[in-house]
Amino acid sequence: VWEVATRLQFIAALAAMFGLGISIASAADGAQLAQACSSCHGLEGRGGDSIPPLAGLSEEELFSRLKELSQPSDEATIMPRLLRGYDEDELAALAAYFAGVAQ
Amino acid sequence: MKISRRSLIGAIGTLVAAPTVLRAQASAHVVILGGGFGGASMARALRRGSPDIRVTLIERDQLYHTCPFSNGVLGGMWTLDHISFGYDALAEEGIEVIHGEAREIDAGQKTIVMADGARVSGDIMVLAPGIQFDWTAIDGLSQEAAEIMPHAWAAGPQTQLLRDQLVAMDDGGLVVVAIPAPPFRCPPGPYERISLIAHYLKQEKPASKILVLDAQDNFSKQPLFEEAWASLYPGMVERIPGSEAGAVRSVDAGAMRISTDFDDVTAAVANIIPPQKAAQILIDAGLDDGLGWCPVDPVGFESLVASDVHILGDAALAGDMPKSGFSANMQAKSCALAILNKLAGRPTEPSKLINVCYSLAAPEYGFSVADIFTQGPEKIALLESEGRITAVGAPASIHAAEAEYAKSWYATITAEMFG
Repeated sequence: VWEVATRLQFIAALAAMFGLGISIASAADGAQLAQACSSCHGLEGRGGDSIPPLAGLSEEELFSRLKELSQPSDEATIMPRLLRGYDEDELAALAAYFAGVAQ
Repeated sequence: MKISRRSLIGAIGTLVAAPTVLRAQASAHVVILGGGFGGASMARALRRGSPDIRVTLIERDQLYHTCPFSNGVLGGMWTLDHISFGYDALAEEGIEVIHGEAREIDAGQKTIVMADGARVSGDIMVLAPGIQFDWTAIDGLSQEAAEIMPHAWAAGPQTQLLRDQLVAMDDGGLVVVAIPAPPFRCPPGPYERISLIAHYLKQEKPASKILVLDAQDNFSKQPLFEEAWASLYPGMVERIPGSEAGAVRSVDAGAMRISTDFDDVTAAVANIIPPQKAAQILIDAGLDDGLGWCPVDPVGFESLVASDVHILGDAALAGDMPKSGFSANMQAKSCALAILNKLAGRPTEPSKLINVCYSLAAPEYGFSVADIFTQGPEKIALLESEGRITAVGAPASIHAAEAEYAKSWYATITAEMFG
């Protein structure tokens, strides 16, 4: 097993060589983070009974809704309590993932 | 924007190791023990993730009864049928479902030995057999005594037995609910149970009382439960905490007598929930490392005792994650990704996991705890320690919405597992 620092240097070098895009990275992050959502919002965020779907909205719409829901409000129930544990990059990755779910 | 290390490693790994990946995935066989929230979720997550790997699920029962929502059976909100699920959908997806009693785990050989001597071997094992009851912890308690004083902490016939006893009880009877010291399966579960039994008694037998003999001092969602009991069931629930000798020391099932260090009570109905530890088959295999629960890596849930053996759900020592159906399902999806990555020669980076536990204090009165966890480096750690639960004093509309979400979650997660 490599030391983390060595690994990161190697990855950075390879990434530069292959010119890998950042958008791929955040979509992959999003898919892993989104595993947490399915038992309420349905597989791939396609909706679960009376809990609304996440798939099918645009990335911009999802991102602004997630940001809005991370603040407590009188009507909100559990989402502000959950979303406060995610930073903006993670919310963006989730938005990108759900926006990319094929309809 | 930050660059994900995992994705880059993954992309590079794919470029370098593509032929190996295909071989490994096509020939891999994953054997899963236990068809509950951990095991059934795992089987289907693997199948969704890869059509090629062979997945075998070993489960004793033809019908699975979920512990979540079993308290609704006790409260008369629905019958046992509503919480019963079979494995047909899994079999139709090509998951090999074996119904039988497992006798032994050979972790080194990644083999399950069945009661009839048959051996089921895989390349990777996932163990999610849940808990066992520690019958020795309370004098007089045994599996036989539990036919008179049901635990109903494994859903199914025990749930029905306790329900039948509540229905047969005369108005004015004393219902005792005994709660063990932690850790136990579903931390808020006993208190939801007290609430829904109270809901039933309030309607049908309003002169009855519930006495809670609790080994714990504090409990999950305590201010919310206490608020609900005071408003919905005033005067019906009395609780003796551990610091006032609430822990049950002995029972006499024949006489329906329950004793603490301080008092003896005679109950009309006694729900004695015994202390718990990981299923004996795991302990026999040494997978608990002497701890009573099985330590696992926070990323991938691989046993710290045996390689290529993953342990999920109630039996696992999963850091700050509670022993809940939600957690087991979450862990299964996270672990399935780690297994698929491993088979493809890719590492798995830590991510964030969540747990949401809804409780019903009445059919239209719900609340929740909602937690986020980080995976490692030392353990699965709770991210935010404040403000985890529904606000105390929330209006009825919030409790109605949370009750609705609880039912929606149940429909969705059981469809993910069995539908």
